[in-house]
Amino acid sequence: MARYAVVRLVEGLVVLLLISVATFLIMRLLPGDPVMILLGEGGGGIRMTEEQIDAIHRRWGLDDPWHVQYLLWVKNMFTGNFGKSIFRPGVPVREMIFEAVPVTFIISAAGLIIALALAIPMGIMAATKRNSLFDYAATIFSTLGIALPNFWIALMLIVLFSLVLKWLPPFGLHSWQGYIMPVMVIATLQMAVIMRVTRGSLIEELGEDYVRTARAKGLAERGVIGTHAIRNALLPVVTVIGVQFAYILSGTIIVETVFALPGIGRLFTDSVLHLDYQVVQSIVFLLAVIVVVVNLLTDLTYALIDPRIRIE
Amino acid sequence: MGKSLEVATSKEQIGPVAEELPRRSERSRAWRRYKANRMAVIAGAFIILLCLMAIFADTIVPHDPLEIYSGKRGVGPSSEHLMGFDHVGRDLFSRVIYGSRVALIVGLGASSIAVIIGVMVGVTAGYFSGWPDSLLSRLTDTLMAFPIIALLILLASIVGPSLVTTVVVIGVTSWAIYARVVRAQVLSLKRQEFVVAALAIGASDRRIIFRHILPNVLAPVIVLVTLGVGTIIILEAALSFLGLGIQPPTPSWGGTLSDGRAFILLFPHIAMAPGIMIVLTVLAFNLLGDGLRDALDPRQKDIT
Repeated sequence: MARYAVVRLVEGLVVLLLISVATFLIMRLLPGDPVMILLGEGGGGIRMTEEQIDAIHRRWGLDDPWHVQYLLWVKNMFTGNFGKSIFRPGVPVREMIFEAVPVTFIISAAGLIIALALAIPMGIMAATKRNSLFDYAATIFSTLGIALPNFWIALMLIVLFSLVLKWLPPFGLHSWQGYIMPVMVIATLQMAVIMRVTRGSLIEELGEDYVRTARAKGLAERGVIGTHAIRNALLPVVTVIGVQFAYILSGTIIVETVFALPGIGRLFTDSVLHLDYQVVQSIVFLLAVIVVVVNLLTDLTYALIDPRIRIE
Repeated sequence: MGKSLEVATSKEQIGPVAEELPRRSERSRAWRRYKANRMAVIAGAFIILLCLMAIFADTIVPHDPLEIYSGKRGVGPSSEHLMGFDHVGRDLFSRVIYGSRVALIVGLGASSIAVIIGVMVGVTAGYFSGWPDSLLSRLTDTLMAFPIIALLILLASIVGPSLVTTVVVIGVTSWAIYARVVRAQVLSLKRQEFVVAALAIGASDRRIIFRHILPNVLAPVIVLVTLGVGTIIILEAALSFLGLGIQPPTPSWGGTLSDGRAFILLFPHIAMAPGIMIVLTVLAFNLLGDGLRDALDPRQKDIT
């Protein structure tokens, strides 16, 4: 187990290193000078001498060789100092990110928890009552749910809850009600995926020999499923949550844009458009760290529950 | 022993079964399995219809998708204009029909790029193990760790949004899943007798890869590609929705949805039609993929 954990940890670190280099290079290949973009089209009417522009470049370290900039950036990442925003001069990137993280965290965590709470029981019911009406309804829901683009679900929810029923505010985050629709959007897609996987893997487990043995020795169906089959059937669900995590974050970027929420996704999209190097790099790196850590945790959990994995 | 052999070969005994199962090629058996799946057949027909619609858009649209009808801003559906007008007064039905072109071009174009990269990476990693495998596998992991939308936003804004950008950017970021699956397939194929035999008689790596390995990874790749087209169409729509994909006035489903968002409280009908088209198209490709999986590769498990 220790060996497996170390190998996975090293792999995760290599991935992080590659991500940091890739992000850094992509950002430096951007056409356009952030200083000029800050000033607006054609300098935005503000006339600056070459010396002044150079001075700004020097002040933000934009003149240093790339490897110096990269090393400085990595050092800053480790000390939690994400630098200062170019677009909002003087505002530390850390502060901007700290302001935005809670919004994104609430949406994605609440969406995932609700999805798990509903989808796992639904998947179990669909698998145990196979070919029942409930099973068909659940299968149709999950097939449709996977094909629904989250931004369209979001728009349709706005039409329903804001325009027709007038229950919820369509945009913004002026009260806790602003969270309801975004969470519903994230939860719908995840429910579809998690239910599908739970149903599929439980059906497969129910065909295994040990289930037949448990039934043969007279165990009640409740016990067969509840204590035997479920444990194995939920293993793929753990993996899927790890894999889905990157999609959930992608989803929040879109959802935050649709509902105009001040989260990480919105901050990211805005910063890309403003070519705010520091913010974009920090967010991409942060998102990647979160995804890598979550994947590592799910892999280790998996190995902990299922000894077969460790041997490989 | 002798008796049981006799029984097995006796034609009277196994006659009816043999009659029902005449010698068929693997392809025709796959076709029969596919035809038996009603949803997959409907999905396939829908996709053919969609392709025809995209190809003959010029002749079937009732109105010019770019023509602005004055005084018709945001007017709802009528018998003359089935889906009504958009926020500047253009015929939505015609714009949705033209939008199928963008969806299919991006869906198929980006898939092709992703598949070529994915298969090359997967075969190299799986066949040559050792350091190329470690390097390529970490590269694949890295790509999968990126929230894909963030990467697309970043790349599209660097290159400058356009149709070509959309195809290329989605193509070069969506290959990880193909690489992963192909690598796993190649690893297991490498240990099978026919590959070992080919190695033993001194076949070159090139011959083994092209004659023995690639034909065998084709089926799972075809299935994955079909399932992937739907995801790519959603990504394209998302990118256009964010204003970083297909640029106006070119009609695209994501672009129309973006207009729909801006005017959702005033003209909610704008967001309906393109959304329904996206859902139907993605659903069709997913069902086609499921059907192809059951037909071509019955042992393959559901991977989501």
